[in-house]
Amino acid sequence: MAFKPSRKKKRMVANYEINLMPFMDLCCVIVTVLLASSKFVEVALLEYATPTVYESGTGGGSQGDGSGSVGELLELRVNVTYRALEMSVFNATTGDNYASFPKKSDGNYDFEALRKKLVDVKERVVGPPITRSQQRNPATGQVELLEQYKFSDGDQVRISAEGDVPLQTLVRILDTCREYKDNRGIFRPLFPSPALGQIQ
Amino acid sequence: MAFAPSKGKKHRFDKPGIPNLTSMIDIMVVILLFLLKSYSASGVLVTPAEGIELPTSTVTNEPIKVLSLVVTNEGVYEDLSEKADRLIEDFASLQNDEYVELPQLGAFLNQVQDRSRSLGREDRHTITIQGDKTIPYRWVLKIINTCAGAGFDKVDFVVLKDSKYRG
Repeated sequence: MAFKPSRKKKRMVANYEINLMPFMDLCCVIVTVLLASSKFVEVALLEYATPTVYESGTGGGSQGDGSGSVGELLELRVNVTYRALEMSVFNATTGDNYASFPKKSDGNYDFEALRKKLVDVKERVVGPPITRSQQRNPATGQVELLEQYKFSDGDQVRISAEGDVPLQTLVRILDTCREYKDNRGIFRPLFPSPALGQIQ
Repeated sequence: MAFAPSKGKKHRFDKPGIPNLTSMIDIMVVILLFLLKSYSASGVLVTPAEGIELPTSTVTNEPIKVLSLVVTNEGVYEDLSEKADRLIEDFASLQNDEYVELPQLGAFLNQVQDRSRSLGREDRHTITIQGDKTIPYRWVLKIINTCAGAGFDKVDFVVLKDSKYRG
């Protein structure tokens, strides 16, 4: 006698679907919260602390030999005129320690050329720091790395500009002088202590 | 003779229709990822003032809320957040090259320091400036000189982050 056919084959194969409703609810809530709390205009703070400016007296400071000994002054200056950016060290007006970068044909200042020259000064004239020490900043409570160079003002740049130069240009100059990206793509400090003054 | 009822029809399941949510979930996930990427846990502590265009910079320091001044092409204002900003120094004073320091601003800042002292607090040393990117350098110098004269030796400029530089 033949067996009765199995009833199993008549079972319906259910087409299961994941219930996505709870996930959608969660997504909706998170998106709403993030939209409410997100900021699309990112602001930052460009800090400027009134520095102690080292000035060479009559016959003081270095007179342009660039040999450098502790206490000598670099006297790095960046002047922003209406026509060009000027940079000098040791109060030089010619030679390797002076450079002038006229505005480009599109009317913008040549910040990249200035940065390259500053990197050159940093590597050729200032050199690596002679001492490094850590000190806690009493104002912020954070430990800061202090570097001393062979020049007392080895991390300082004196920035002067003509009266009607806009704030945006000043900010770009401060950015240019503060840091640079080396060959390995690492950001390194350039002259992070600016001192603003009148053009001379 | 009556027809036999259809065997096919009576076995149909009348399931409630479920909308296809896949495409909607795709959009949700994209929005979620975008918002998570741009989310800042620290929150906005400084709101850019209306009517000024801030300069862009490569700095990344997070702004903090301290005494804030707004400098437009019309003058220097005290930043009062929700309320309308109060004019401290007008255009004429800023343009006057006889002033190295701004008298009205100096008086206001000294008043702020006096108020802090009367409340037994230490002198303030930090001030934040929201300056329009077109204001001239000589105005900036006058404001910095005035702030330094009143004991604010740290002047911070609010800027827009230039994300292209650091990627």
